[in-house]
Amino acid sequence: MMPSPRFALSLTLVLVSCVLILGCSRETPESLHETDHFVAAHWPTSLADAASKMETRVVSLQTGRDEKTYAELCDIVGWIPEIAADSELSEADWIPINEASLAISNRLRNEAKQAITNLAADLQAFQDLIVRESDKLARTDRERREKATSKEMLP
Amino acid sequence: MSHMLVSALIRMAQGLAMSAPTLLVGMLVAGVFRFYMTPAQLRKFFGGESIASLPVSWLIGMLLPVCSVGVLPILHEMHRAKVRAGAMTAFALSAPLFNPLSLLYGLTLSRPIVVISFALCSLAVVTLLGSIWDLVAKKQTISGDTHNDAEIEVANRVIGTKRLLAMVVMVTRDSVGRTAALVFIALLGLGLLGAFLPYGALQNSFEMNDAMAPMKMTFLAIPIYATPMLAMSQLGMMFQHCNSPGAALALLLLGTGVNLATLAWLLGKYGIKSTVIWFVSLVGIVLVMAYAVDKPLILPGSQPAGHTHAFDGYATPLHPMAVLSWPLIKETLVKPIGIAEYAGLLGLALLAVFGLLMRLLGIHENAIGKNDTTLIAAYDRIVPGPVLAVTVLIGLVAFSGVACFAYYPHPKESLAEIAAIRSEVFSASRSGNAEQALHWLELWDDWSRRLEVATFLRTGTVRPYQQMQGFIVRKKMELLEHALEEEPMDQREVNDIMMSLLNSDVRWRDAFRLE
Repeated sequence: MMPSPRFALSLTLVLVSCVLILGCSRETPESLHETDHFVAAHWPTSLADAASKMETRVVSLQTGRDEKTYAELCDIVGWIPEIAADSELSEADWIPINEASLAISNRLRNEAKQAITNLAADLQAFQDLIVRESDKLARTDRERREKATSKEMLP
Repeated sequence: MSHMLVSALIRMAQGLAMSAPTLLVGMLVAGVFRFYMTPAQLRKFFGGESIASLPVSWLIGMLLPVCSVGVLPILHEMHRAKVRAGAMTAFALSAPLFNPLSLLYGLTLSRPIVVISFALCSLAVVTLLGSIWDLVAKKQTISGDTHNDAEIEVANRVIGTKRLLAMVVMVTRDSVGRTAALVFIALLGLGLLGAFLPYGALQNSFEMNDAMAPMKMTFLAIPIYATPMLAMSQLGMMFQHCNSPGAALALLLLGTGVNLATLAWLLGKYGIKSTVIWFVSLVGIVLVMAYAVDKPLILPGSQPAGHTHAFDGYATPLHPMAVLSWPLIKETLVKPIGIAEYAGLLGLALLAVFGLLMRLLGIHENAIGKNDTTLIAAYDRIVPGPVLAVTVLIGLVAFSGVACFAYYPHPKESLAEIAAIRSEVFSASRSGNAEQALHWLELWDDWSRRLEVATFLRTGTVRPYQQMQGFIVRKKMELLEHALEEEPMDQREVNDIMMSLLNSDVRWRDAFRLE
């Protein structure tokens, strides 16, 4: 019924080895939350920044293929829904951005070789959409601030 | 040395508490199989010798709320009844992987396709492994305490309250017998990891683009014992931190599906050669599947967080510099234990007390009503055992369904709960009470998941916008956790993150409120 001592010993040795291989590769942290979240250097700070970072990479890729720039473009396109959702954009405005991001991300992955030339129009349309939404956000924010100021000026 | 020993004991005690509710269910199901079904009926229940027996056993396993420890007493009864070896394997692996509660939770963690893929992978694993095992076991002379059908029929002959009493005696005796020994072996795996894995050692081991991640997880998961809900919450953290999907699948299939006691049980019943074939086949199949899903299941736009806390629970719980004291041990020990676990522990303790008593008094389940003729009145109707057994099993599944609605209350109730928790986090963070804030943050995270599952349960969907808002809120919660854990704590940084979190929280609540 129970395992033989030899089996138990071999199993324990295998497990301890696995554990040591996995566990001893780093120094003991001060606390469990010592490690900060990694934030990529090309992480956009806003929608406008995302549009600009996207444009820079598309232009660069049109002149010549560079794997790093291509990977960064894929990242930025994939991150845009998160950036947009973390703004005052409504759900109705967010949905087209998310759908466009998913569609372009898929094509960037699947048609990697010719993607930039094939996708130039789609990428441009996506970029325009982001710029439009970003402007809308800025306008709403300005109007809200103006309203607040005029309320303060009322006797 | 004392640190290692205490760490091991803490992890084993936590494991026992986690396993208690599902272990109780497993022992009850084993009792039902023994006393309410004949071996032939049990074999038929698991699909008999037909080709459908593997998927049928997989499906029964998916519905029953047991874990990889709770499944062992059931396996024992299946073995006694000579259920087809492949079907036993299929049931043994699938029962701990999912139950209605964890499946619902899993469906909201990432894209539903990920968890559906995982479920289908588990079906493929059990079918492949079951077929291999059928071939191996056919050549094998089954050893151990197998009984012939006629002998088992005797135990099944009693009916009415005596049958119920016999079942209770069996369960209580088992709780301090074979099952207790197997539970100890299962928990030994957790103890071993807790003793040897350094504090926070697994935070960077399973990154999305690490080709070795599925392999490392496959070997780590062998000694792991995880309940279905724990594994699901760890998968959730893995998806949140963009860890390797292959490693996540390996954790689910091996960490939740098997443990050291499964191997020990197989070894006892089938011998070393068959167990090695079974184990090597399982590891091989899991590795192939883990690598097959590793790239395709990566979410577009995933940004790896660089680390995860999902596996902190398998490494040593005590910092090597920590001074051992009873309050520290107690605080560490009870941290992951909730009401359900305390209730389960109480149930196990009661069973163990009665079990010891039965063993001391020499009362055996087979002796109850053996030479007794049950008086049957004219108005009595004898309900066949299998009808009662299936009723109990359906009752268990229905209970799981009801428990889903209780555990994931209406979104309105979840939002009210979250509002109260949020204000606690806010006031504790603003006043610099990091410990209090961290405690409430953990609850907030848990309720944020429950809100999503509750919505899915009642509307059948969680919109992408709702999922995204949940993702952002949880990401900021973790940033706040980090800021609160920093020493010395930067109050301005904490306040900034808190304000950003509150803004996201408004959008997140609106996404669920404005339905």
